[in-house]
Amino acid sequence: MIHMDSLGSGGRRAKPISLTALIDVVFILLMFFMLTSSFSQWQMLELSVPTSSEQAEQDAPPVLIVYENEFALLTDVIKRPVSLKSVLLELSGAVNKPLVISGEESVTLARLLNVYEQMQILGFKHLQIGQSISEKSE
Amino acid sequence: MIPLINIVFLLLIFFMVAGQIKAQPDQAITLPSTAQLESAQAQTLRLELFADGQLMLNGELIEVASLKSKIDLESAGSIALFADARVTAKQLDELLSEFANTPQWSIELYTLEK
Repeated sequence: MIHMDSLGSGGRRAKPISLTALIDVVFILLMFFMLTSSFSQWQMLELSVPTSSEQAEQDAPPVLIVYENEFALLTDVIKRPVSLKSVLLELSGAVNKPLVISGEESVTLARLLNVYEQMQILGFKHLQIGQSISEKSE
Repeated sequence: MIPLINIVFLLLIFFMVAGQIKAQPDQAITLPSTAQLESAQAQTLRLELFADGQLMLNGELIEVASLKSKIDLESAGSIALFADARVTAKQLDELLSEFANTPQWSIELYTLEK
């Protein structure tokens, strides 16, 4: 005799879900999400597009030139490579003014961003990554 | 069997909720890591600049000089730039010079959060 609670609406016996097939599907889904999902977060920095207007050249902000190990400030005061400390002494009090960080041609992006972040920590608010500067043109 | 499937279900839900599915830059690119910059939003146009200077636009290898023919620079837009940490200032400059005098374009350099 068949009990009423085990009957489906059509009067047929309801089949239990096969646990083996279910776990197979769940494993595949787990593998998919484990392999495709990433937990790393990205940050971004807006790069300035080079422009060639005379206005821009007139009120050009000071340029901090980054070398492999040293720095220089493109002003009348310091042009030869010096330590970051000397550059900061020169720039102290100018944290609210714009500053362009330019790399010497062979300087890597990682080094440029490192300097950018250091200047950001020091309180510089209007920083930009500028065009590279070749050693020959100095 | 039942405790096993319970654990697998928990793991599945963890990866579904906590992980993010997003298009990653090429394996050969090591993004520079930063801690101070603002967090990034996904962009539809993506440029990948390799350490050897090769350039990819949306996964397709292109020449730097042919960038202008691939993107309509007259219109406005923003582009995500995934550059290798070893890319030099000169290589970055060469790429940016392609966008010269197009202030309507914003180029967002992507980095990995430390």
